[in-house]
Amino acid sequence: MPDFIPYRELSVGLEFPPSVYLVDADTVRGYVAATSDTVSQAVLSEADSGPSGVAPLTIAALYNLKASSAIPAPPGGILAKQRYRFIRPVHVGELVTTSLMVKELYTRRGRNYVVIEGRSMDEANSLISEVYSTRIWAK
Amino acid sequence: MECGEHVVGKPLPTVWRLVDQALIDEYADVSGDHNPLHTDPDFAAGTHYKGTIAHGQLCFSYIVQALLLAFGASFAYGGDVSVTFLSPVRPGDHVRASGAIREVASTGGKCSLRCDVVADVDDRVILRGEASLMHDLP
Repeated sequence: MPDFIPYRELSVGLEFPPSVYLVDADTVRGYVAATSDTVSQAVLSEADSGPSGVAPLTIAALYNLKASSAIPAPPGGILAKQRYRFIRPVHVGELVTTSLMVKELYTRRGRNYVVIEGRSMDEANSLISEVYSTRIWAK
Repeated sequence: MECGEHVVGKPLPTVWRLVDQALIDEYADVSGDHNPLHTDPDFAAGTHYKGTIAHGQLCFSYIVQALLLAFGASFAYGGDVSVTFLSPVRPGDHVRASGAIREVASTGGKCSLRCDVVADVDDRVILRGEASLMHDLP
């Protein structure tokens, strides 16, 4: 059994099991450092009334990446397009559940593209972000 | 056309970031994305890219930082941003992320804004896209 899913086995509408992600303080610190993000926490904390530290918006990438481990891609593929819609920031200590679905498949100039929708919900089952990722699926 | 302080053509603040292999590795560790195209120089040398490249999402985060600088927390509540990745970022590249307001409209005490966003390295565009948000009128 291959350790990735070949393009031919993907189909539009294919859903993957929800993935739960804990936004912990160490991860937020690591993410801020890795993205050289001197902006998000200063801007978001000013307007934030949450019970604990606020995370950068794009930390949504981490719970989407964790969820996408259910759709392992062949090595060498890259991200072609990305769209994020932010409903609200998340806080340290929150559990985020992300569900992925294949929305579109197409081939252009000999390359296979996969569009994946990720919807992330909080513990009250309210939407906190949506991510649409278009990946070039390596052959 | 303008809405409060927001005027068509007004540039977003510029975010400059140096991307090196250590930062790419750090992003791989925190994200769990260990695609060898990003982290394995030997593997990456044998690909179309001839060397490692940064994660697209790392560079995307610089665009969001520029939007937060421009619009504050408003962007965090309903902000929408989409980009197309056009060119790779390699270790040693200085990335400049910015953009400009393209459309403004006033509706119900709020500004509806659309922006063009772009990131480049030495004038080579690495990603381009657009963002939209609603912003409270002052």
